[in-house]
Amino acid sequence: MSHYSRVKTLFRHREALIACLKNLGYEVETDTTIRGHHGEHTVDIAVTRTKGYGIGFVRNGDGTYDMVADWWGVTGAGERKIAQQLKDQAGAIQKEYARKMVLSQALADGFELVSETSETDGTIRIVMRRWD
Amino acid sequence: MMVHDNSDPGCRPKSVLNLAGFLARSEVNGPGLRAVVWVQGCPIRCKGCFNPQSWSFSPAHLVAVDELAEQILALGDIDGVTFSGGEPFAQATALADLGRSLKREGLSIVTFTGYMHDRILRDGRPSYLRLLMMTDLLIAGPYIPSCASVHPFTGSGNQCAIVLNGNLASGIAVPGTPCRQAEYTILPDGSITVTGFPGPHVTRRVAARCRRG
Repeated sequence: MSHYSRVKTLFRHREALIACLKNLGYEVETDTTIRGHHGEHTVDIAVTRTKGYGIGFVRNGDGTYDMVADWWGVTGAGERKIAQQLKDQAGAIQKEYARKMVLSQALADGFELVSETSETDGTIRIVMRRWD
Repeated sequence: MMVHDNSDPGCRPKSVLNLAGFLARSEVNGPGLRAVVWVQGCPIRCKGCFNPQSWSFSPAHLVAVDELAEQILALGDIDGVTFSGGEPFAQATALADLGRSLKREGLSIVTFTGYMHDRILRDGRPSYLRLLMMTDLLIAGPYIPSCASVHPFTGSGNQCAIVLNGNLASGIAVPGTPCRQAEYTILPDGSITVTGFPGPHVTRRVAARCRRG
């Protein structure tokens, strides 16, 4: 049978995370605060391009980073728009980080990139090949 | 009362499939761009299997055949569908029904199985023969890890790619040098589906990298 497995990506590699945020065009600050609907949050890594409310990353005890932003509890139409923008940005960050992890490990294992396709439903497909 | 053949060891209605996984688009599970249906449950359980999580016949993700056919046909841009697993012939009746709906709309069918082709024919079970009739390309044989694969669509070298209907014959040429193909589908939530024949160690390393950084 052809292989099938699902992997949930965790943010753990600080430098890779910062690099992927920069690849996406964000300016990044470390050890700072982000502004949210409910006030300021102290974060280890902050995305500063977002106007108004921001996205940040807080390091957990196990070494992983949680993405934080005030995309809950918003009520007005304007705030809902901001919340949606934050969610879209969060999705793009998740995907770019996963893409970076996949490519770096597959290349390290001797695979070459055959194709990379962005589908209309938001998924990215990467085909790799290795000549044995 | 008429008793119908049902090869599925479970006790679900025949119009329902027990799935281990589904991918809308893949380029490494047969020729062209294909949806892939991994069924849940395998009685063969090859040593070193890529997908031991798909062995159990306990319900994983139950889906009606009509509903799945509709979902696949709505994709619009695929060349065909691949049945993998688990063991597809353990749910032969439902997959044959699904295959018939898909082939009517011009999609080709690739079926993976851990059984040898001649064993399926000798068995002669009506549901097996119906699934064979719906299959254009059969990848047949148990997975034997010590037998290295030379074909991009087989897991081990003993497995055979058998063209049952001519329309896929041109898509299964074996390259001069053995190669492994892996495909990573990154979903909007950042989760990753790994498929193809990357080798078990490679998959484990990618999974560890994504979790560990």
